Amino acid sequence: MSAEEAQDNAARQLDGPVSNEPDAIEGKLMDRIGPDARLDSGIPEDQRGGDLDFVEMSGITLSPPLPDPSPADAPSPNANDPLGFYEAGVIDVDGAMEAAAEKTDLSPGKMRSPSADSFREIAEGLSEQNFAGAKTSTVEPDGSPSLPRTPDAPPFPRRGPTSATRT
Amino acid sequence: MDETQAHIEFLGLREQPFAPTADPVYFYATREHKECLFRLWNSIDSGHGIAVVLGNYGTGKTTLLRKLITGMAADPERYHAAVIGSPIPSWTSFALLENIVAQFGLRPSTPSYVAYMDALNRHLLANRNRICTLIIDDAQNLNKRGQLELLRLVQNLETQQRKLLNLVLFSQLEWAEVLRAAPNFHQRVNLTYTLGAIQFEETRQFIAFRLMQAGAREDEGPTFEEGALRAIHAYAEGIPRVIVTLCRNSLLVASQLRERVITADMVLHTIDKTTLPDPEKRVRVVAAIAEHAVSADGQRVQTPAGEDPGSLDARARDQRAARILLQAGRENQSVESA
Repeated sequence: MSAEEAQDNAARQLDGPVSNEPDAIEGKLMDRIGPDARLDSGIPEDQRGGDLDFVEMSGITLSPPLPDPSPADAPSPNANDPLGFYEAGVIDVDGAMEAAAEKTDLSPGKMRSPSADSFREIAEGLSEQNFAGAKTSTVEPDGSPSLPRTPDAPPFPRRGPTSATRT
Repeated sequence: MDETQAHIEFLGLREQPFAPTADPVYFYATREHKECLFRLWNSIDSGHGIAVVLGNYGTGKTTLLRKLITGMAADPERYHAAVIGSPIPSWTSFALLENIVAQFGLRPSTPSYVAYMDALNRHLLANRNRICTLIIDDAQNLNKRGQLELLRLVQNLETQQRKLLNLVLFSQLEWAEVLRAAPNFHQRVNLTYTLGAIQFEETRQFIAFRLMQAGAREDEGPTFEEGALRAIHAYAEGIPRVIVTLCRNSLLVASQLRERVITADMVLHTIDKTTLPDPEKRVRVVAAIAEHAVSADGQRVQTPAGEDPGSLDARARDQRAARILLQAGRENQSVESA
């Protein structure tokens, strides 16, 4: 700070305290803090723990786990009372998937995929019929013509409630 | 009985009054510590979010922290606290989250960020009728942006009026720079309280309180002479941990000499034998004692508080201490000038 600045500051009293009020406020504040054991020196006799309590209080060792199962660690969320945003989101998505699964019956026991052998046998059967001519014409219960097949050919796998009409 | 306990009992005490631990039983509420506690409890009870206590090492932060935890533990229906005592600087934000969750007693089975956050949030919601607080000591170790971001995120859960998780962070002063460099975190801090050194009168009361807590009785317990108190305060510069260490080592000297009065020369001897050599500080200590003990013509200039002014023994002890110390001061000066 230059001499001129110092002189200017002195003239304007910039280096002096703005106000002594903060000290006075602190004094009043402390005087008006009511009796509270939480603010006093030491701790009450009945709050003194043992060595293990003291160690645990340090936060250096791991806290013992909460009794299991804790509400916080519940395995499946309650769809009617979601606790958090993520949980609500997961419930919505899971719900949508369940509805779709009901329509299409995607359960593992009911899912079948056609094997290459099946396709081969069907193709062979169709070829035989095309060249040898159709011996019989069978009709499915719903009235649609069914695929002619050899007695040994396995049934064509079907998906869904309706059967496709094949020519 | 082991020798250590024998020393303690000779001094008329039940236990070591100056143990190097942050035992809340020995928490002494100076004006500053009391105000800090008052503001902390207010911040916690109101659910105002983040509170920071800064202070140089040895200013009593950990003892204050444990006083706080003890208060919460006394009312488990109202308070629920988790403590991280010593975070590791190299922790990733996920490691910090793992520790937070573990200290709340939670053990999510899936080790993922979402699972841990969800477990914590559910726990806080399940305990929303209690005041949940995460307390971290040595927070200066958390100096990565990701760590502060994680702390900000874990206390984001809130109701209309209050945060569901309070954070109380105790740290050394240098953490202030980290806070300034992370304004998005710093801005959310409700309270920053800085602890400083204690005053001489508080040093006197601090020592007296510890002796009393350790079982000292007026007629039997050890007594620190005024000169000894001044020597301790001058050396420690008002830092409680240094006061405690010096008192502990001075008590050992006294009990070895089969004395229950700790004199200034005992304290000086302790400084010489148990601390790093610091001639400048030693001269300051000697000056502090001499200033109190005698005027230039050898007359006492001040009566120690709490001491009988008519006590010739006390006066004789002080004068003896002053003579020794003035001599020591002269020796120091001659060594330095040589």
